[in-house]
Parts: sequence; structure tokens; C-alpha cells
Amino acid sequence: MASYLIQVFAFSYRNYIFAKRNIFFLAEMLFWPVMGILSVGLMGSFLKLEENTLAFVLTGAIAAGVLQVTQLDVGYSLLYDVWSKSVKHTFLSPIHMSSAILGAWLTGMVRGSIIFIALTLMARIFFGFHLPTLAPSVLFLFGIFWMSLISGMGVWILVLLYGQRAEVAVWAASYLIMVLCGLYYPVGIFPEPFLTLAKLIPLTYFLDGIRGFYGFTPMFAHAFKTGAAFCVIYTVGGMFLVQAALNHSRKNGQLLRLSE
Amino acid sequence: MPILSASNLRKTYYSQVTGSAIHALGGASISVEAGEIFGVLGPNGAGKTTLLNCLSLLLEPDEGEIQLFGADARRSPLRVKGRLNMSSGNANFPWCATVRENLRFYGYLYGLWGKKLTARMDELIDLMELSSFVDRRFDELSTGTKQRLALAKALINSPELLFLDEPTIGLDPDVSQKIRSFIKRLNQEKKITILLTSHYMPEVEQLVDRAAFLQDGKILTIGTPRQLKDQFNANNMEEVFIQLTHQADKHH
Repeated sequence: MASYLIQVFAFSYRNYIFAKRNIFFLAEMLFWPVMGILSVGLMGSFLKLEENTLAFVLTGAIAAGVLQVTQLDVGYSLLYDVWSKSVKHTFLSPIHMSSAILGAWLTGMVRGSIIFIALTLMARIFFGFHLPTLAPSVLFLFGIFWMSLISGMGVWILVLLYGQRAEVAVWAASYLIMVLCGLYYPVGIFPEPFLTLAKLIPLTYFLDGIRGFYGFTPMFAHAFKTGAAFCVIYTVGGMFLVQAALNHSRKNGQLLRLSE
Repeated sequence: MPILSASNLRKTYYSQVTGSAIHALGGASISVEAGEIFGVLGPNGAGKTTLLNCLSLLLEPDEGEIQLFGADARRSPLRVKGRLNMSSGNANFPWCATVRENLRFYGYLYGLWGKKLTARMDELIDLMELSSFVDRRFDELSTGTKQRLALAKALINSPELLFLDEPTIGLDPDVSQKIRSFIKRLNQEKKITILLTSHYMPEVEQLVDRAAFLQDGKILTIGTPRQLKDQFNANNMEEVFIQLTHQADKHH
């Protein structure tokens, strides 16, 4: 157990080193979420949205910013090795796949929390936005973090299976998820089969849950619980698929090609 | 009892463009005794690196058995991975991490922590003469220093078995000589079993206790440098290498 925790820490440590040494990367991570919240907030002011409707879209902008930052950390954990051509040294060691992913996720959550606080404060100062009470706000934040973990595992699976070129497809998929989960609108406006797809995304439920606190009638009963249940299923399935992808990449030599 | 034994290893790659089969290993078997330096020799494309990657569990062979430290390594890789390590020529590590940070990261991966890790890092920095470079980023190091860091990283977990893939490739003669003396010292003083590949026959002659010659994924012969030279009536290992390559080409 001690070794496992040290291995988890190893990946948090490496993500921290990369973040510390790349000031442009840090700035970029803050830049896009801040641009997002400003754009959405200003659009809301222009359209003279009511307070609760503005809160509806701002929760979406905050979710998008935090999701983006946290999932980057999870996905980058493998990509740092690919870009450094050091993949084989990592997988030569006696690590569990979960330690690599969890370690990167921890760093992502620290960064995501900073972004969450920064965006919430900005939205409050510039657009009069207020979070609901502590418990739903924490549940909402943790829901975004969990979604980031699942999304980041998607990066791992595709890069291990198809190499670095799959990276672009993964980021495209994450934008598709953002469209489907109803960042700036209720998913009830979707026709089938898009509504069904939206119901398969955990973030849909976390957004629905938090918006209930701004006076919108929730679409789903027990939104937070349902979102969490989906997250558990996807996390377990995701870990299994990442391990299967690693085994496959050890068979076809992809793991070594990622080191070249 | 051998520390490593592999039997009938087969590995076929498929071209990503044409789908045609490339037979990298065609039933290779080797056995390495504890405490020896074992060389894997052969021309380019013979399958040396593929063999090393299979033995270090980075590549899954299509067929064959690998016993490491008496355990079935393919079945329970995590049981044996902590007792081995690898260093390859043209080493690459996280580019923006310093020498110390890189060693710390890999130390963590092997479950080392706190004072034990710091002591191990200090010992390796001293052994590999890296003390002037500890706070330099990896991408600021010379090729020779990178190679010394690669060896330090490969020793972080005090491995019983060390794989060295072309450890002196691309290095200046004086740096190569230094690396070779490190390797010899590791084997003699730390009793680490070493399996290395090399194209440089004087290096092989200087270092290895036994060597296997690989061609087209198959082991042609195994022996001590003395036995191989006698067998081929050669003055040095370079002549052995040339004769074996020609002989294999004729059979082709």
C-alpha cells in the first residue's frame, strides 16, 4: 500500500515539475477559462438575462473551464512521457496503471480548484454570480473533477491504442461532450437520440443538480446521485479499458513506438 | 540456478502500411546465470533490441516462456519488475526535470521515499560523477552526461538484473571507456547481473563473460569470448562477428 501511494505521488510530482517549468502552459491554462467566463458573462449582460438565467450559463462556463484544466492534467500525464520519449522507463517500473492516472488527477484537482475559485470570484465581481450553499457547490465541483478523470482516461486509451495522433480526436470528443451535456442550455431541448446521449454523460446530471439551486426545475430526480453512479461505472470500466489498452500496446509494440 | 531464462521466444510484427509480417524473433532461447555479464550480439535488425524488450517485459512475445528470479515473468510481471531495470543508448527522460528531479521521480516509481531515497540518490550521483549537474535540466546535459544519468536511473532500485541496450552508442571514446568501467564496477562490486547489447566488439571482449550471437531472430551460437574465438579460429571478437554474419548470410 505504501509503495502504491508513493507511486501515486510520483505522478503528481512530475505534473507539478512540468507545470512549474512551463510558465506559458500555466498562463494558457488560466487564459482560456477566464476568456470563457468573460465572454459568457458579457453576452449575458448584453442580452439582459435575469439573474438566475445568467447563473445558469455561468455555471456552464465555470464547469467548462475546470473540466478543461483538470482533464489536461490527467491526459498529459501519459503525453509528458510520449513527448519526452521516456514511456518505456515508466512502464518498465512496477507501477499500477491506476497510480499513474490518480497521481495526475490529484494535481489536476489542485489546479482545477484554483481555477474554480478564480472563475467563481470573477463571475461574482463582474456579473453578481453567487454559488449556492457549500454542499451542492462541493458536489458540483467534485462532479466536474470526476468527469475530467473519465475524459482523461479516454486520452490514455486512445493514445495507447493509436499513438500520439489520437490526441486531437480526444480533445474533439471532449468538446462534443460539452455540447451534449448542456453547458449553456437544458438538455431537454435535444431531440432523440441526442437526449439519450446526453443522459449517458455524468456532467449532465451535475449541471442539472446545481441549476436546481438557481430556481430551475431539475430534469432528473437525484441528479447528483445519478451522476455519481455513472461516474463509478465509467471509472471502473475506464480503468479496465486502460489496462487492456496497455496490454494491447505491449503486444503490438505501440508502447515502444511511443518511446521513439 | 539462472537468474533469467527464456525459451522459444517468438515475436512477429506487422507492417502498419502493408500488413506484411516481420519476424523479429524466431524461437530464441537464452539462460543467464546470476553475476555474469551476458552479451547479445548481432547485425542491425537481428532482433537484439526486441529480445531485450521482451525480457524486460516491455514487449509481449507471441510465444515462449520467460523466467525471471525463478518466477514466471509473463504471468506475474509486477512480482519481478522491481528487481530489474534498464538503460539504453540515446537516453531520454522528462526534458524539463533536473538530474535530481528525474532520479527522485524514478525512485518514487520503485517505491523509494524519504531518507532512503535521498541516500540512494546521493550515492548514485556520487558513483556516476553527476554532482556538478544535479540542478541542470535534462535537455541541458551533454550526451555523455545523459548516459551517466541513464545508468544512475537504472540503478535507483538497486536492481539484481540490469539490461543495457547499446550503452555506449554515439559517445566519445573517452566517455565510452568511462561508461565501460562503470559497468564493470557495477558487476564486480555490486554483483549485478548484466545483459547488454552492443555493436562494438572490443567493448564486448572487454566486458562480457558470455555472449549469444543473434541473426534473423535466431540464436546462432553462445559461448565465452575465448570459446567463440577458438570456434571460429579468430583473433578477436570482430572477426567472430564478421564470420558469423557471412555464414548466416550464406544460409539465407
